[in-house]
Amino acid sequence: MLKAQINPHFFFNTLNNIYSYTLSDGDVARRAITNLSKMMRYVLYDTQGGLTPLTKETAFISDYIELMRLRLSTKTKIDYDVPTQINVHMIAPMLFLPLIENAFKHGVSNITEGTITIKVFQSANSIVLTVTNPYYEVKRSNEDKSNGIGLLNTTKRLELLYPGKYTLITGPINKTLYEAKLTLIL
Amino acid sequence: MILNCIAIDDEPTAIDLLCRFIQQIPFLILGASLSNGIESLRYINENNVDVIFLDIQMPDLSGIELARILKGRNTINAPAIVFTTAFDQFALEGYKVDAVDYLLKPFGYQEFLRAANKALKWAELNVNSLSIKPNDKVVIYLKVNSQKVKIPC
Repeated sequence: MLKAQINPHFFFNTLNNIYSYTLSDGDVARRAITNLSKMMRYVLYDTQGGLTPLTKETAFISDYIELMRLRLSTKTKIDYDVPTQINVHMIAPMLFLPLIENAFKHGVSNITEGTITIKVFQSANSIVLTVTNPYYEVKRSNEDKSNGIGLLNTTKRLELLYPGKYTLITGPINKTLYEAKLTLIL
Repeated sequence: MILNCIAIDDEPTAIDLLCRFIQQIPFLILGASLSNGIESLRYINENNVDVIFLDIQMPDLSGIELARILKGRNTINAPAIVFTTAFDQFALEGYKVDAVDYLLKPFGYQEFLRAANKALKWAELNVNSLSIKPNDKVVIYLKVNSQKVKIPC
């Protein structure tokens, strides 16, 4: 069965950061534990049914981004923009995360500065997610064999869940930016 | 014996934790904490480093690659490497680059202390093996199969 999951590396690295914050800043540690709990609850229970409210998916992404902020150096900025008034759209859960994870996997450098942009647009019958990240033409060492599996899995899920009613375009849009754009027709 | 060490991790919070643990160990002195492999290589070239606490999954240059570069140099007092990572599938790679220990995130002080002790033993062994050098001036002669054999002490 094709089910999206949280990357275990994200999970353990986040726990390591929380451990560190328990020694330095209890407030941050406590907030991080709540973020992580909400994410786990969503993955364990809310994604079992077929569809989920868009608000839950975006809240899940917010929690993820808040935890990623704790992990990143000041070199990477995150620009996250979700409409505050969200229609009561229902969507298949966990379709957004793989695209956002990819941006963090490939678009982060500790040497050069960069921004990861995540935007959600909605209309009466469609939802658009746009994710952009700095693009490095030279393939870097940590981009191992697992490369592309997340995206492949997402495409398979989209084919099953939104046949003929989605577009997913990924690739560099210029020399310095890579973009993933997912459109779902509801 | 006092060991000069450095902490390398792309995540600032993970570095904080490493530095905290290092400060709690009497025989470790923290030389620097670094957030990427490139800067780290420069630091290692210019300073005396005995132990490296090294994250594996980092952008720009991975910990495994950094370790390979250091191993490839074949210098006499290569620093001891302790990997710190959330990925246990890299353990085997770690052995190939002669890592002294492998800490799986999240790890506590006890585990860190164990790794630090291993690094200390490793460094002591290295020093001892360096100090045992054959001396040409002191030799013993043994008769082996009715032939005289000269053995330096």
